[in-house]
Amino acid sequence: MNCRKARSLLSAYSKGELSHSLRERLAQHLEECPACRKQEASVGQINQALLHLPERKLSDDFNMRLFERIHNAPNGERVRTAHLPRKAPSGLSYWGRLFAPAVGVVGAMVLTLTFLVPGGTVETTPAFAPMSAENPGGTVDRYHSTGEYRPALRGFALDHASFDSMATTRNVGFFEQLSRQQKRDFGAYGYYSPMLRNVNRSGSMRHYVLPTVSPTNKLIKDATF
Amino acid sequence: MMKKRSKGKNLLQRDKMPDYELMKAIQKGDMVSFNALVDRYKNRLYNVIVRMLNSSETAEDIVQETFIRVHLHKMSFDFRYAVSTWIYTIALNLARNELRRRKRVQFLDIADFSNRLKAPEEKVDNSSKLREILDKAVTKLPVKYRQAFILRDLDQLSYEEIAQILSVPLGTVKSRVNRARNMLRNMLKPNMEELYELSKGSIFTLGLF
Repeated sequence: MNCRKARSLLSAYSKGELSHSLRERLAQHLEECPACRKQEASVGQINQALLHLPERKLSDDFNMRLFERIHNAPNGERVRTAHLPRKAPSGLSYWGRLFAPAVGVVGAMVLTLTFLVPGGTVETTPAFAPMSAENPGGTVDRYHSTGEYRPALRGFALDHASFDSMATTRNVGFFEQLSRQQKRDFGAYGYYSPMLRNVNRSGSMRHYVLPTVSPTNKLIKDATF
Repeated sequence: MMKKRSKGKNLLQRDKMPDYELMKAIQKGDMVSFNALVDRYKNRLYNVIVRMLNSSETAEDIVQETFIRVHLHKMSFDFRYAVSTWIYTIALNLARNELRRRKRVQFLDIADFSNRLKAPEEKVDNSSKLREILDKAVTKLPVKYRQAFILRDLDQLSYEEIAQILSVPLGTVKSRVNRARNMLRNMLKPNMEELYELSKGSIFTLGLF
């Protein structure tokens, strides 16, 4: 072993991080080479000094200020979330997402034209009536009218059939029945769309927003509550 | 038959609770547990961040910000990972952002400047001199070596945990730490010679022990 190699290994040697064979070879070299022994001593000094570097302490009111900030922060404080798992990408590209609403509007216009222009009026019964005097409860979809539901989900233990039955039976407490893990799965895998957008920071639901379309693509009817 | 301990009683001994149990309680909204977690990590984090940024004021802000995010995103904590890893990751990400920001904006920290003015008044002996030099030398290491070095040699984390925190392979962490140690030794070489002469070759007279 030459001196250059030996010196590059000295720190790891002094911390006992070397493999057995390397350690033996280095020890042998150190016996023969006084210059490297001197280096070894200095490594020891540095290590000792590192252990005794001055510890800094935070100011005493650190916790108090922290709790104040947490308390005063608005619930939806905007923070960068780069460290969090990403939401599942939607199937559309950037441009697709950008123009999706426009495409929808144009499509709707075309549809109304084809139905309305030839003759008479076509009765359109909205699947979900907005909240009004006649219909005080509104419908499930009152918060997000364009509720989409992504059937492609991973890590979601609730099976679709039982979801269907629960979601259609005017079951307000449906989301209460989900386990914490299931709620988390929703969030972690981007199964987010209209339903869990309103999950509180604390994980409880503020509003109950059911999807317009169930996993099996059946429209949920009469889901008013 | 052993009597089953009630949950409430367990919660009284938060100091002894493992991190993940604290985290579970925090997810349920228990702020006392959150306080315990903060107490457990704040000073360790602070020391790491101070050395990353070489600024005590900014470091305190970043530790605050870290815990605010821990609280804000408590529900998205993944129990497959260690709580410490998660907290360190957030803190180091924030620290790196700060370093990046400084690169963009010419940065002059008034607090540090005044600290520098105050420094010469203190009396220095050999050992504290070495520590002081060392403290400065650490902040001169390039960032990617510095963070690995600080976590390993100052905060005594395992290589595995550091690899997770920095999300780089284990081998890379090891080589970065070793590289940083060697860089540091080279930086300190002139000072070491001097100290070596002063102490006439014996490390025991340096007063380090």
